[in-house]
Amino acid sequence: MRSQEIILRAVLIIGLLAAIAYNINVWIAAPLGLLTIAATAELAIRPYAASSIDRLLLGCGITVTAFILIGIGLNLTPWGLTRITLTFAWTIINFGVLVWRRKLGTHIEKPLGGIISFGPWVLLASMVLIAAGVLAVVGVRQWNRQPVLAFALTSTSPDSVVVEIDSTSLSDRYRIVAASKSSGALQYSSAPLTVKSGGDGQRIFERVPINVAGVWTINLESLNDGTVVRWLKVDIHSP
Amino acid sequence: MTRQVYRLGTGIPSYGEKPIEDGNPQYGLGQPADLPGRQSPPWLRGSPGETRPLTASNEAAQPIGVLDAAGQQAVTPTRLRAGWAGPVLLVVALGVLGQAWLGYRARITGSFSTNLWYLTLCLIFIPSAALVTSRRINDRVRVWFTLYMSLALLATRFVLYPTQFVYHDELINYRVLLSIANSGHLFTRNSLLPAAADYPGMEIATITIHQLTGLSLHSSGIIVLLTVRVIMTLALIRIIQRISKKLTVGCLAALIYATNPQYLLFNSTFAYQSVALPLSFFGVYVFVMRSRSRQLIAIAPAAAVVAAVAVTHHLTSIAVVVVLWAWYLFTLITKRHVSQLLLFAAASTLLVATRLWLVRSDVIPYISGITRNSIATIIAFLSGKSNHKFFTDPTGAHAPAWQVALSIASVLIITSTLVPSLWLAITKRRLLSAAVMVLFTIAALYPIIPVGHLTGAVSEIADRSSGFVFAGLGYVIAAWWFRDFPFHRHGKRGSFTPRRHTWLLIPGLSICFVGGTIIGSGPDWLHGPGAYLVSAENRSVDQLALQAASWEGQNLPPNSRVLTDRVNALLAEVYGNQHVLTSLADGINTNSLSTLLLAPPAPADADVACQANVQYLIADKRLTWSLPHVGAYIDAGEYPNGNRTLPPPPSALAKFNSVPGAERIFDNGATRIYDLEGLPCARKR
Repeated sequence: MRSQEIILRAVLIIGLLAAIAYNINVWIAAPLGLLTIAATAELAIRPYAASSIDRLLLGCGITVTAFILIGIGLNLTPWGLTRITLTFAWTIINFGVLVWRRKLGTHIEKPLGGIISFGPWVLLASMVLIAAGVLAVVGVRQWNRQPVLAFALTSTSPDSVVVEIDSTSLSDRYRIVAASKSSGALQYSSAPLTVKSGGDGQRIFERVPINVAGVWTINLESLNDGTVVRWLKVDIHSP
Repeated sequence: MTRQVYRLGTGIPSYGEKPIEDGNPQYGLGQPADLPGRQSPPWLRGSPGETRPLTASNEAAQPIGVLDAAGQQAVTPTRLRAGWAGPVLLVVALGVLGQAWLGYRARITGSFSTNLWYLTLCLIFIPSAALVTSRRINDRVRVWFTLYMSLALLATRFVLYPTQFVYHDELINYRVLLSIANSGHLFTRNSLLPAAADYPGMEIATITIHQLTGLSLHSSGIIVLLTVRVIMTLALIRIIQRISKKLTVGCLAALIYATNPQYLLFNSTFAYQSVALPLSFFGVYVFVMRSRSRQLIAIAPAAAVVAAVAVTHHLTSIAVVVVLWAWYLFTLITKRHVSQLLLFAAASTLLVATRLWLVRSDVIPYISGITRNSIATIIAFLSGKSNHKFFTDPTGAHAPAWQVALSIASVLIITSTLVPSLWLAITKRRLLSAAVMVLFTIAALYPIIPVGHLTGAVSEIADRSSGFVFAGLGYVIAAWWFRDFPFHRHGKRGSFTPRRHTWLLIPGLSICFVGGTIIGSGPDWLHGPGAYLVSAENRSVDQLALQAASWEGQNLPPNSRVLTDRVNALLAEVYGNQHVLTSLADGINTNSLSTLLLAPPAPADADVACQANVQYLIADKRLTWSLPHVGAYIDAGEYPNGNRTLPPPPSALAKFNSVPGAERIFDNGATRIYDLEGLPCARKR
């Protein structure tokens, strides 16, 4: 193997280590990681693959197989499959393959053979595929912005409960009303709560005072029409 | 006396088989070597100026993994002649874009257009099939286009659901993945499908990519699926090429394989068999590649792949062992030894059996449950008590007439090509290699797929077998199609020797592709996003259900015992980190416990909840909207016994509003969560 190739491969491996160690942005770490994995797989199977098709097949196959078997092995250690153990194991394999195949030269060929000669079509198709991906993600983002309103209990204590209003894409004014049929129970009515949530959602926490033990009904009422839009039932016990 | 030897291509012995005693290699189906070959049909012959005729592949002449004298790959002319190959690249991409647009529209309008879904799939498949079977491209480009098509079909799943897994099996496997990510260790039990945690191969590969690249778990899962799709397509092509000596046969076999009912949907999901199946093909490929070596260590790489399969999927690993022993059996019958095959089969058996033995407590109940259910369904069908309706989902929605017609047409086309192909095999059986006989045997199992659809439960199992059956079918039909010798031994056409018309190939493949997809991919609502539907896998995973599951994860104690419907159960396990009560993991009585969600209020409700120690009940009031689209709201055997004709009443899902001790702690308009820990009997425990 030429010394330039060895140096390039070593730089790749160390680059991946650095990317993981320093938690580098995924847009850099992911291509680097995938490239390193591919480079190691290619080197490992080089003597057995005569064409780019076989390289791809054998490279993908041994990579997935190696991942699975390494994972099974790591699970037997006390540390299991963590970022550190997986990185450590993969680094050993990277350098191991590099040493193992150090005397092996290669013939570089255009990986896609004749297809690459269709440059403009490949470019056009790639752009269409990227557009498909973007369109799909945009659709999901819009879907995630559908209006939802949840009213939930988050904690209780003998003298109060904390409730949560979790909303997305809603704009309204509400009031929380708590009441109980227990003797001596005082009805609680909160100040008006303005909910103005965008597509990313909004969460409002409200403390509701409870003056006696017993079963309490906590309503979320719309101030527009006075209807109860959501309600909860909690059983407060004496301390 | 010179023995006639039939062959399809070059004279290279395959699969480590020894040449027969007269020195002439024989394998597969083919042309009598000592007879003048019939002239290939015009479309098979190269056009003037073409460098490589379709039926005599240069690449086929080159044994896999062998370099030429100079240590380089024998480079063949790779210039494309088909001027429409470039536009095909674009049209296939437009097909994927069309799918993305359908998903986008469905999310905005709530309506998913099934007709356009099939149309855009055809945009991907038909031009690709036409190009791959064209004589105007060279073999290398043929392989790349086959791979491009298979990846484009897989990509259609990702553009419909680009950010999360939503199908039943996907969510179960995602739960396993999250367990590994959180704990760093394998085999953490989950209640939905305990066996899934015992076979974490796919999740290990995913978590490794996640940790090494920093990509999200979902993106890492997509990379794993893309990788195994590459493995499956190329391994299939190469294996078939080894047998037939023709890359064109391999590529056509891959196209035929793409018409299998599970190809587009089920085997494209983030589920363990999606990885195990390609790895099993790869294991065979690696064995074939190395089997000429006499050293015992030569089987180590293939055995390592089988070991990976053995920890990835139970049924696939069992199937691999069965195939290997069948192969060995056929070598005994044909008296043609395959080097190292016995050792490989024995090693594979040992690996798979060891894994099965270690996880027998989870796998045996799971498989035996499926078997019992299937037998009961078959008995019900045979005794005329089956309520299964063809092309109708459990809510009564019937498939359109064109889908029914295409499904039947696809079965007829496959059968009408399978019968003469098998007849050919029978007439030439003494000349077939053991590997070919295995493929023929696998192909002969095809009828179980359409016949399995006579009953509901068996149809699922039958469809799942298609991942294997179509590998044999692909070879058998492709080899039959590309045969270059008189079909009948005397050169006359008979009942089983129809002519092969070129113009029939692409329409036939297209009908099989669409028909197969209709058969195997379930009802229309299963194909993509859209408005909420009751108990309908992907269509029940909406913002409201996800919001509830997310809240559970943040506010409920982890691994609390939860009872809920099928889809909310999946979400509670995955995003809520809860322990959902199931008959498989907890041995609960589904019929009794399901009354808490599906039966009208009764005095015994609190007692039933107490007996099963239910801590939280998640009630989705939308269950009252319709009958369940997958046939059950919660699980098989749920209340009521027998056939349900109406959805549960609203009071069934609101009964705990008035049960003393029960608290209503979450309400988002659709989903209500009840805390049942305060029930009087629960307090006693």
